[in-house]
Amino acid sequence: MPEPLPPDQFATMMAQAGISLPAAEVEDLRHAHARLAGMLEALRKPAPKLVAEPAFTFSTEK
Amino acid sequence: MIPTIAEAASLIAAKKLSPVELMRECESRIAAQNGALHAFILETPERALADAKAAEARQMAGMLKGKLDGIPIGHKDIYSTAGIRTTCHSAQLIDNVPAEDAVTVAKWRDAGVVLMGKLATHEFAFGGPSFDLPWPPARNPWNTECFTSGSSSGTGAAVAAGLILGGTGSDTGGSIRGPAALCGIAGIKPTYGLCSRTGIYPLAQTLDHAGPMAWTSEDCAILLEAMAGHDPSDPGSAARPAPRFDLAQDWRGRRVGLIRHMHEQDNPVSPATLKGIEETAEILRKLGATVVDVTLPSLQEFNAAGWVTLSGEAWAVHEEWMRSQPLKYGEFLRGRLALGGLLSAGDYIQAQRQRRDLIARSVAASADVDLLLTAAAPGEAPRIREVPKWASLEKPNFTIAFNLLGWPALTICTGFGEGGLPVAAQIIGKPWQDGLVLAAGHAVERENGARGKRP
Repeated sequence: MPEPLPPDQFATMMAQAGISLPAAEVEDLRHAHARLAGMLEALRKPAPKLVAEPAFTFSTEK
Repeated sequence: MIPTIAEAASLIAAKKLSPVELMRECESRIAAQNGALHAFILETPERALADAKAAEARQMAGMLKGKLDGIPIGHKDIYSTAGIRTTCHSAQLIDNVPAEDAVTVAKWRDAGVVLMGKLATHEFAFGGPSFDLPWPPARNPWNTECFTSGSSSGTGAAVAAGLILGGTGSDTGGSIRGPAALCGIAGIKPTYGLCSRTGIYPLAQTLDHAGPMAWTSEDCAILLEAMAGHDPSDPGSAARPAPRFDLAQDWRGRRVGLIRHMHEQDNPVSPATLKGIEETAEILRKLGATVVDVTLPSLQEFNAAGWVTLSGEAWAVHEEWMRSQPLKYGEFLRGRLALGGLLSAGDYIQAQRQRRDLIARSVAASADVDLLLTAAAPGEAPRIREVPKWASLEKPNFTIAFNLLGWPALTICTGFGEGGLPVAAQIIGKPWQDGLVLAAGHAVERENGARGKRP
């Protein structure tokens, strides 16, 4: 699992997203975000053969 | 013992059971148990009596509408109900009274159900179990210190306790199948596009499914038939006729793929859960099916794509309130939604590419089987106070894979674990094979003995 972002960097990220939460929750979220970052690393790989843009990802007929 | 929907329907048709008496029985069970279970957050006794009297009038006139006529049900409180408060279990919508029924609510209403009330949910189907909301979380009727799972928590608890005979759930990452598993009932996430979502508060539009929960697979089939069908107002709804399910299947020649790696390696399950899955496979084998091992992508791969998709889409739904009035949400939900707000557009697109790749690999891996089988939950219900806020980031669940694929997936009870609480299996089918999935659940329930015990 990646290390959590430094608090000041995470605070900037929160501000950019327009999210304002109580301090204790921000700290909890900072650590949860590191877990999510681990998932994101698994997703950031070269696009697979069957590249699909989001609008066409799902079809009710498949 | 409270009857199943199938049993009650037969008795009502034969004029051996009064819909008003059945409603009164459920009403008295709610009065006795809801104080401990918190399954209902709003009871609708006047509506229930009116619905039951109308059904009884049709019964006496020999004009019953079908198997759901006179059957007591409840709706998860993210389903809009005309003139009846619909809150999503949240302070954000505490005074919300919709003008119209959700399409699926209207379908059940037209089928003659008796509406007993609105059922607890994790806040907006994503934030629970929470103790800082206007209503407490639902409790597991097998042990009220334990978790129901969610988000269709009230439906799971109410059906298991026999407060209602069936109810609605919604499933974006497992919210029907999780509570069905921990509460020891049946619940199906239908094929994506089978049931309308119009009038149901969205969580993540490409993953959201509406579906029924009941004591048995047979009851789920009855409820789903009345719930399914094309809705032009839902862009995700498939233009297909409403299905009619035949649960009497010949299993000879059918092939069942056991996704062993999911429940043995990706997220190892409890011994009782494993035993239930193996027994389910054995029952289908004895009925004539061939059971083979199948390897799908790992739960970890499904979970990464699933949670990024869910979190990103949920943020898009709640962004405005998360910026303007975040403290009106409970702590669990605002934290989970905030995580979605920290994703980039690139993260979301990568998740969609991964999703397409997972679909292609899953289609190829399951080409030679009719059904798939794995766990629905790792084991028995944990204690409700010990459920972590970030559980979905700690271990992959068994359910979101089939939201990503859009395939029908059913939870059935397979027995009980060391703690005396239910354990479950998950039966998955190919798109539009909801009837085959339900038939398998029905066949297994008739053999495994798990339907003989109520909380």
